[in-house]
Amino acid sequence: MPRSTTEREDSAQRLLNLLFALSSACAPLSTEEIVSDSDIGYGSGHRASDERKFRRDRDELARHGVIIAEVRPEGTPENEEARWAIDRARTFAAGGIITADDADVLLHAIDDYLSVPGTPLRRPLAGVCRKLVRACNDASRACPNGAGGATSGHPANEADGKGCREAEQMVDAVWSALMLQHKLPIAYRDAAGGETRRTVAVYGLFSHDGNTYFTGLDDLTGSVRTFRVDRIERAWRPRGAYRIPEDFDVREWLFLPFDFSDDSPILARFSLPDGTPRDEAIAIGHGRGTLSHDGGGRWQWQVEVRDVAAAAAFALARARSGMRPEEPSELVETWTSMIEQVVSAHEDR
Amino acid sequence: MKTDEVLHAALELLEMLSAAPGQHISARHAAEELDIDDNELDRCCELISNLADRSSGARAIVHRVDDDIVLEGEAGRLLPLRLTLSEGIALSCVLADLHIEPDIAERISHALLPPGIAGDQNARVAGTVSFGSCLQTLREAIQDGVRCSMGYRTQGEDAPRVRIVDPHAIETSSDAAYLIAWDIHADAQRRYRLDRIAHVALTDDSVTPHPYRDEDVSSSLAQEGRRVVLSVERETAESLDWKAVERLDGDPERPGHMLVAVFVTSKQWLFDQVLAQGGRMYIEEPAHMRCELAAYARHLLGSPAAQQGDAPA
Repeated sequence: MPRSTTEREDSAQRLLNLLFALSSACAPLSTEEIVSDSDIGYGSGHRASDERKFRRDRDELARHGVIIAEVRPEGTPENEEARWAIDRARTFAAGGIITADDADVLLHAIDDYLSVPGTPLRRPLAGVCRKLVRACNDASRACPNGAGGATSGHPANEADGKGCREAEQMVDAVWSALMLQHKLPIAYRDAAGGETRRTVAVYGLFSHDGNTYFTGLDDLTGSVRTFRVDRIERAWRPRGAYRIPEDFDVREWLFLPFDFSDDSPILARFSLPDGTPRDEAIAIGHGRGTLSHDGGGRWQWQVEVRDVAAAAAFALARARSGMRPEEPSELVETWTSMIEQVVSAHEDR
Repeated sequence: MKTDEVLHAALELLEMLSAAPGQHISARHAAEELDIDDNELDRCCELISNLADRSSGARAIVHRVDDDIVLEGEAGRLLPLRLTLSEGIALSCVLADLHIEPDIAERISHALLPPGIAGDQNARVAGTVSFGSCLQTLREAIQDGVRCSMGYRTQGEDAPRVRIVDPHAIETSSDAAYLIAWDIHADAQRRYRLDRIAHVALTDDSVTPHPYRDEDVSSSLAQEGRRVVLSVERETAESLDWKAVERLDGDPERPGHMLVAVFVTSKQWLFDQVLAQGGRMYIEEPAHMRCELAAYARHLLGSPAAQQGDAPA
């Protein structure tokens, strides 16, 4: 049952009250002092219930950066009731460390990062900017364009603006699910236009070619799949905790043209000239696979491919960069055959 | 707003008020920054005004006068908070992807990052646009107006070549990030992909004024490129995402194909795209380009790994 506006604001009030009570206290407060305090929002008379609420509230405040920690001065007997205080070192920004130049570097970096279409980090980076400005105690520093609130980065056209907001709300929904590690129920429309209901345990997000994608364990197929955020028709409240596998890396899901086939993957190897800057060599493959330098003076890039023809086309589209297919022979033969076919077609006219 | 949104907005408002000169801010500015409407802003003020501690007598006093929101007294002030987990992950991605200098990254991390941010956050959030490793130096050069010596590898070259440039701006698209700069030797505006910049060094010289043109890639290609007509399989033609493309009529000589005009500044780029289409695309005009394509393709077949640098132009 969705919570009413009043219930939600009561919860928010209680959380703020808890923060205020601990900030104002001269000494750490005991569990009893907190959970019996009706002014804060506890004191229901059911101690166990209030304790559970207090625990949930600590978790909620931690998600917002306020860390409430148990304090046990040395020599405190084990059976003495826990006392609580705000962990100031972990809660409050450390002042006097970031220089004005540091702030400038970071604000420009965020500006550059946000200029990439489809980035899923717009809202959290807006928060970073605001806190950076406060940490520098310099209100004259402005957050970069695109990092601000309601109106920044939104087109003037009302219809487009509405579309933008909806898209951002969906990104926020997926991002929240990832942060909470709670499964996200969605209504999803695939590329063919078919709509399905599914619940996804979100493992990661990425931007690709101006679109935002997320990858996670899909309950409908029982496998890890990738979805496009703008194809979410509707999202519901995340529910059901999950853990992201330790070895999951969303960079392995930055798809390339040769990924779209039902064939089993094979290991391919491409080479690039020795003089290729490392950043370029990594960028070509989106950081996937393994990159190394061989004794012959060329970069070697090994990556799994599913569609051999698409892999050959991928190399041909970058032939002027010096990219060449090396293994397996099937890939090299396909590459050669494509060239011969095109040459033949052009010479026959 | 959900509970966490209300809490987030109220905490941010309290931080903004605490940090603002005289502890007062414009309501319009606050609403914009927090991405909430006026009613929601009033509600946040009300939540903050309810904060009181009986034992210490402390109270947070927030009131609104016209467009000003004011925080009275010391009790309600909130020191700047560290980043939330969500913000911390976002910051970690930026620090890594943009190769922020380690000592700067260390200071920022130490001051702002929340506990619990460890390991490679790019394993959770990634993107396909590479900013290369020289962005920070370029930003410094742009800001301070310093001429640079830059090693850059153009497509078709074996290795980076040194150019002297006046850096002007950073530009991004959905697939790459670029430096807009003035090539001093060529005396012309150029666009350089950041991931092809091998190294950058600041010189002792300052930049000089240049007549930069603020035009998009399509316009630039249409002005400076050569027009080539291609016959392309219809489905492929309709999904082409190249700049400066004009879809013409159906190809009378090839059923299922349509004619497409493109403007290109690099023949090698076009030849690569035609080869990659594996027969779905043919060069119609100018006719001599068909011979040039064949020569280029034969060169590729001759010695795949060794000869890319001296392919026919």
